[in-house]
Amino acid sequence: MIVVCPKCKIKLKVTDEKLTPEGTRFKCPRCSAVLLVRKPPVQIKPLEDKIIVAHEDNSIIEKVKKVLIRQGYTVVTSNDGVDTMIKAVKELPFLVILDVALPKIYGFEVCKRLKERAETKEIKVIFISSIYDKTRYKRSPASLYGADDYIEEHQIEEILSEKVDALRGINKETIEGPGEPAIEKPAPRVDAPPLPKLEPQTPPKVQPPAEVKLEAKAETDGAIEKARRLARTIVSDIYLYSSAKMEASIKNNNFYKVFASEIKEGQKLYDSRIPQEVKNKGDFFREAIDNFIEKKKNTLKI
Amino acid sequence: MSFINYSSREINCKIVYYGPGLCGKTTNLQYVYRKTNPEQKGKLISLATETERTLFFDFLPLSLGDIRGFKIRFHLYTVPGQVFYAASRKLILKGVDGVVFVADSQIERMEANIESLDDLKINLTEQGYALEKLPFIVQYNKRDLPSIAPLEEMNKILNVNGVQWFEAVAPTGVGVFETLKNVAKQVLFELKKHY
Repeated sequence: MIVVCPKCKIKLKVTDEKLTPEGTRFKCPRCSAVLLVRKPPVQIKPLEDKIIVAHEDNSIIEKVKKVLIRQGYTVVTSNDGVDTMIKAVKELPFLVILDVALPKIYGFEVCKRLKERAETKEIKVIFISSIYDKTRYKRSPASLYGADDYIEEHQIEEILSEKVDALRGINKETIEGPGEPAIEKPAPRVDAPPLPKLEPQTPPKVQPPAEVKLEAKAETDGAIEKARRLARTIVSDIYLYSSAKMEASIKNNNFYKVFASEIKEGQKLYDSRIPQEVKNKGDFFREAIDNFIEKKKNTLKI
Repeated sequence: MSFINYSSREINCKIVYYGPGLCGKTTNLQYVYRKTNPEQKGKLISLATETERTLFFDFLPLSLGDIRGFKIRFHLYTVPGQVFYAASRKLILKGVDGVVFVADSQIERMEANIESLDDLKINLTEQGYALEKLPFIVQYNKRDLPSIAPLEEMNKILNVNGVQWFEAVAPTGVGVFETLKNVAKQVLFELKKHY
């Protein structure tokens, strides 16, 4: 595998056997920078004939199941978010049809997490909502918590199969029902070249590969999800009230210094609300901050 | 708990507007203040520090009549919404008679709504209250914005007990007085049980 040193830009050849998902450290022979090279996650193609249907209400599940079985799909069902996450990782379906407000882990959180994980990000998501005409969704899938489409309960029998086909089809222009506004297709994501992720390391203080370690165990744990949500809310609140200052600090690489007092307040609240056993599983507060900074860097093109 | 001022023959009730940061609590209160008759209201007081803000004012709605010869004076409060000012919010909740939860309807604020509602429950429990037993209204604010969650979805996530709820656009006053009137009605109903 070829990796590029971010400091001196030299190309280095690294044998695959030496790499682990947690990352292996190498010293650049030219500039001596310490690099953390991670093994790129294995891309697993979701199974095209399998669909997970997750809803609290079994009568809705049955309704959806009937349509899908008629189309020849294998249907796996679930009644809560935790179970859906477990099944999605285990079964790797091509599509998950989700209720937005699932018990244990909300459907929109399940969707977000599926789209974040390397092995599940290819899974398509359709939300089911019980919306009446007055309050129906008027937004593109891009703003549906990252889902690919949605369907209203009363439309299941008429247009679900059409929507499932559309998600399997290639470059189908619209997946909306007749008479509704066309859905803006989100711009195709240009994925980075398949080079492994490199991070320059400062030798004395090496961050543990928290993400990898945490993800393995945490996915199904509602308590951990709660901790993560609180942490995310704290960070997004800091941004909400001081967005310009925060963006500047991210650009200047001094976020932790500039927002020291806010971070301290946030940490205090986080510590008081999150049980020790959850905190033992990882520093989700720090993780939320780092993820936010990372995302902002991408948006601000830093 | 309401307190009685015997010299002015008034029963004082406290209504707190709760909700995540920038959801429109202050806008609600400012609208009510602007539209209330000057003779009926006190000063709009802002308890602001460098980073947090709490608004407060009291008013005496004439239309509500009285209870055993005592007039009802409402004290309306907002809490600082930013998630880590939990201590201030807890303090403001002391002696509360009714709560309005102002939810931000924008999809990207759904997590903040959930957190804020959890925070409200925790802070009430710590003071010996239960949200289920308090006069409580949910207001879905910012309904005029483009990227909002549908009401069904918001109700399912934020209003599991199915309390009374209203849609609102606080800057223009849509839903603002409906929310206040109904929480006031619930508070009065509770008062009448005790006096």
